[in-house]
Amino acid sequence: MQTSRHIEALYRDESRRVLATLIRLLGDFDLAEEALQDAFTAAVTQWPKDGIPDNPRAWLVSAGRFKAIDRLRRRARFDASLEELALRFEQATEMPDLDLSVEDDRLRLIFTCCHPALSEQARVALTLREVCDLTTEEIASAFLIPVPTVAQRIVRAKAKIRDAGIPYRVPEKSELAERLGSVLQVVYLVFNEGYFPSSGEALTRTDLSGEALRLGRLLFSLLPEPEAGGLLALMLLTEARRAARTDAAGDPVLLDDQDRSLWDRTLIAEGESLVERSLRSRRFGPYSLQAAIAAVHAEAQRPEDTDWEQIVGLYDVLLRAAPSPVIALNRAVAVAMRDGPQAGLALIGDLLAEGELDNYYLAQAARADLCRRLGRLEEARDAYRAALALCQQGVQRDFLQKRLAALDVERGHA
Amino acid sequence: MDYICLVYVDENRLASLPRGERDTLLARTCDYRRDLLAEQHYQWGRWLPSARLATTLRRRDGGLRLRDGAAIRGEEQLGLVVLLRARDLDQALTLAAGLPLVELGCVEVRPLSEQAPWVRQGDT
Repeated sequence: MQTSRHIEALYRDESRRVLATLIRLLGDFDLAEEALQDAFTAAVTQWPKDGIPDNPRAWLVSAGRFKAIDRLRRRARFDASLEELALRFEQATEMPDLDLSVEDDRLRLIFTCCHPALSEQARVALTLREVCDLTTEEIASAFLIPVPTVAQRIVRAKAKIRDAGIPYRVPEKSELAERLGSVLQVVYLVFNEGYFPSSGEALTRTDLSGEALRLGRLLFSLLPEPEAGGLLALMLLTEARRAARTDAAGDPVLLDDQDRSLWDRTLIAEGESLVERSLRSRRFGPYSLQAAIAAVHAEAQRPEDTDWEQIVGLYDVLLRAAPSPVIALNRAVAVAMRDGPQAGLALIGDLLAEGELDNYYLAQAARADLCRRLGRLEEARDAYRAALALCQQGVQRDFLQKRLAALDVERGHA
Repeated sequence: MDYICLVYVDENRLASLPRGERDTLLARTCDYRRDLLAEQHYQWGRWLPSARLATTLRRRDGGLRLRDGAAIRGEEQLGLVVLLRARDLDQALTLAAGLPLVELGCVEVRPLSEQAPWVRQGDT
């Protein structure tokens, strides 16, 4: 009884590590997954009789490898080329020092699952499946897509890894920054889908954000690069506001109106120390800068204490590091806070004139808010309507509707 | 593994380049080929003259259907084919990215197989 509970705990804690090593040894995702299941099945029958081995992880890897050789042998009756493969695995009897290589294997697995030669959707599905151990059904329900679609994405990604020769290794230093970017993108995408669902009625999906945080922590522990720390900090500082982000009815609450006593100070402290560490390295990038902006917000006890000067400065650096119309829009809003709505409105006007924010409802929502503050209520109304026409997300739409209704009340009083 | 690099380029754009630039592009491609050859990555390669010289045919219902032009139409057409041997996809992509024509057009990198791909399905 106790042994089986021990095996369950071991599966929870170690199965991804054992899998990562088996993938390296066997060079095939599916074979490694079968071997992993075989190894745990063997443990369930053998350990209660023989006792728990001294090094359970090494035992599982070794058992998995032999089970894989057996499987190949059985299949070799139909396909002679597999006999050769089985023989090769068998002859590689020298087992590498597992404790040394096992963390490297986990990192290898992350880089392979997030390889830029795979589509973004495939990267997300494969990483959640292989690294985070989510089932295909769990991934499908988290992203509101059909199970067969997810299954197909995973099957195709594995086939490309195998047949196109996508390597199972940590990139060399010269390519690390670019390849790490591809990994961080996957982590952030998962986090954002949990925090700002792109569709559906619920405003947040905590479980996906939790997975992204776990993944971000794992990645940073394996590879303490400044931007990996920056992304983890950004996620922690965003997550810290979760309790204050919606009211009792589940409606969104703007940053200015949030009850800051609900912000999670433990997460904020952890995020802040990570941001400082990344900025000190002088090798930081967009994630660290976004985290630094979130940290400035977190420092303000009340909204009016916010250091907008510093936030605008950080946006200036961010805009140079990663130019994008959305960042320019956020900068314009920060300028409005520092210099008044008129200044911000002028900047947003310029951005809209460039046409790149045509389909971005938040640009119209920001314009509406600034017009309202300037008392230009007709313009505000039009902008809210334009925002509504572009916004698909249920809760955000309700929010815009309420703002529009409040405007009519305000106009009635005027 | 062997990878085929299919380099697509807009031949009109290539033709409109100043003479000097075209010569440089050619010289750089030849230099690069020599580098690849020295490191034993280069297996084989050929230029493809204008896609206007292509003929596409299909055999259907016992008859031959012939058509002037390439199988896939588009502004960018196959202009260079290079067969590379590389350790893995990462190395193949790095080598393919070094082809000077990629600055102008694009390169599709695909693994080659000796076995017909449909034989593999359902073998387990």
